Amino acid sequence: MNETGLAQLRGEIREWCVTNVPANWREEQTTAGHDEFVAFQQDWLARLRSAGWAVPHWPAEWGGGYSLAEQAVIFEELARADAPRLALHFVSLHHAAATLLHAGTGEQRAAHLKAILDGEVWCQGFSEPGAGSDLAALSTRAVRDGDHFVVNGQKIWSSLAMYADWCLLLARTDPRAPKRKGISYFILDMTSPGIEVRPIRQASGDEHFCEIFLTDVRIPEGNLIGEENAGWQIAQSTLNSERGATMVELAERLGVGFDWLLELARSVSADAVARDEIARLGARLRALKILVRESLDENVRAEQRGPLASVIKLYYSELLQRMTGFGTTLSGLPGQLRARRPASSGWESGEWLLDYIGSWEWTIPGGTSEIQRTIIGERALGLPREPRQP
Amino acid sequence: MIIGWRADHQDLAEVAAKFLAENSSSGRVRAVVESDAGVDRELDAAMAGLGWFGIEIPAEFGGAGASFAELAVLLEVMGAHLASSGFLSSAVLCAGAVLVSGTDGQRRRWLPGLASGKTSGAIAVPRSCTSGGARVTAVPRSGGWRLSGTAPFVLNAPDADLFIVDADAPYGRFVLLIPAGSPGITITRRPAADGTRCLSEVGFTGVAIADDNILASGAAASSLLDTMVNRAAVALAADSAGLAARVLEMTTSYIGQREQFGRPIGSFQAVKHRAADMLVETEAVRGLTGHAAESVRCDPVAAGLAASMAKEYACATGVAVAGAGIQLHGGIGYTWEHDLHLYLKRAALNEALFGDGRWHRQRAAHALLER
Repeated sequence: MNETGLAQLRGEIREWCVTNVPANWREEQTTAGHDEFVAFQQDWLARLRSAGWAVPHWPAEWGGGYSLAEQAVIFEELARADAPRLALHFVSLHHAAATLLHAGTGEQRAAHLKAILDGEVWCQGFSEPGAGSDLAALSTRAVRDGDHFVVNGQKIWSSLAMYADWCLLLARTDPRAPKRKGISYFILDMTSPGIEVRPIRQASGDEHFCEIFLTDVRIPEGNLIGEENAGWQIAQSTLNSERGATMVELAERLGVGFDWLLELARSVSADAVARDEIARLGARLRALKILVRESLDENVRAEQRGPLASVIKLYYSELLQRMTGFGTTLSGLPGQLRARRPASSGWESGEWLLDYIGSWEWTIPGGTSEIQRTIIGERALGLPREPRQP
Repeated sequence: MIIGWRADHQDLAEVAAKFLAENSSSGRVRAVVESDAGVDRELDAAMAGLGWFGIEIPAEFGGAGASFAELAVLLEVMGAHLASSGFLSSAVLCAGAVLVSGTDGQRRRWLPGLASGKTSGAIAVPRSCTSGGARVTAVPRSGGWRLSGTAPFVLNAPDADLFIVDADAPYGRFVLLIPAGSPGITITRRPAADGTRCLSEVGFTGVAIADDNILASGAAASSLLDTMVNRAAVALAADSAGLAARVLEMTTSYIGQREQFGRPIGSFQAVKHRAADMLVETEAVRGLTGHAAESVRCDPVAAGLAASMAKEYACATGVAVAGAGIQLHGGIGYTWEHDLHLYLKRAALNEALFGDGRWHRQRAAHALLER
């Protein structure tokens, strides 16, 4: 699509947002209970879907088919219109879909991709109490029993698992193989007997990470994604491949947060010291957006796409933390009073202290900042690995 | 680097890198530094032979008719090789100013020589940049003006055929274009810690100015000075981005080989993570600088903010990366024999020239908050 086409698309979305972004959604979502949050999210997904903008990053046959430049326009405009985020569907629209498109069978895609558009909610069952940064050390076991697998173990930090219909589950199927070669990837029906989900209250006061306890849970073999024991490789490649589109959205949302920071700075008549930091943040925000654009472009060598995704994740999360931390500083003592963040908002809701606390949800999950630096050092710079224990 | 050159810049960047590896080798750079000349005249002659000085100048004046974006590519590569050249002063700033604001007569008089490299231009840090800015005044005198005062930091003065300097005038400001032979000009070299650039103080004592010496006056002068600051800012940002990338390369190679405690030091996380940060910041500022160069080329409204952001971030990153490079090299990196101190000094001067980081951040903040 040429510049004129992009401008036309931009105009269409802008116009659509004027009539379709619910007025006062921030106020309403600030006091919303669980049911209201879920109903609101499902309604917003349905609206976006009927307009054709719920899954621009999917292939055309499944309802997407927009180029990267078009996706960027769509996410930009939604962010600028301060549209709600599809927080409840983040895993289903991105991780689950990318996994099924990359490694799922025709049957699995048929069973779930349309259902995801209809509002099916997914969670991730990756981390465990003993397997955080060292994810490949996971010990949840899946043992074959005829045409089923029987799963026992415990998962943790699963976002919004209490609402999930399905779970992307990593479990060990060959305990004798090297740790990355004995893991399989499953689709787990969250209504299966033997599953218990317990939300964890976080530092921010919210409860959206969960523990999942799995006791003799039976998964039919048809719900295995890819080959048995090939789960690690599939999980890695889908994590990388889906990062592009999500980062466009996150960077644009951060841009909206920066506009609020500017408003705040004007309202407190920011001094020269504060203005100095505002300029630094503005430069880094712009650098982030450019990095994200460049990562979608072809002047990145294929083998560097993974490390570049790490660069962007690290850069985004640390900038988010710095920006929300500075918003907290500018807010002064009034900013220290207890507040609530609206559900369905981005990582920058304008409640700076809560956003700042929430920023650790980006520097820790998905590979901590320290893990990202190791990846960048080894895969982008080619530095020698740390000697491994035998 | 993870992110390569734009497809249409790839060839230019590769040719430039190959040329400078030979013509601005460590040995050549060191010879210039030891000589206190601040410029490698042989290098400039060779660059002129390649047509680099005229890259942005339209073909009708003998240039290649490319754009500021291509200038920025050359500048990044020149930073990586510590090129000791009059290019920044002559091709980027003097030629740029004549191109942007010159009358037909001024363009015809000066651009062909600047394009071929036969004419060399010196630029004074403008007064608005606060630190080191020119303090020069023009007073009316017998149908023209007389210019007096001092420009304490002028690039490329000893070799110059023309000077561009800004001055207070009875009504607003002037940007002036003064032939080097004019009576009343004195040049005093001020060797900088960074021996790869040529700084001088230039004094003006009753220098006679006529209409054809005025490049811009009043509002046009303010606008031209803004444009010149933008061009200088992006040029220095590109130079710093290039030198950061080069220091990262040197450092990555060193820490991958140097062994302590029985293993390469780059395998230790404390070292590896610092190198990763160098890469992240370098990639960030390369992109930001390329974007700012595009703004300077074609979006005058956005150029001020884009240029100041690129300048403050890229030049600060140049200093930080060069410093981290010395630190990760350990003792050897702190010796005179090693090139790293040359990179740190050039990065430091880049940060201070044409508005330092604080100045550009205040300029950017103004654009962000009061636009």
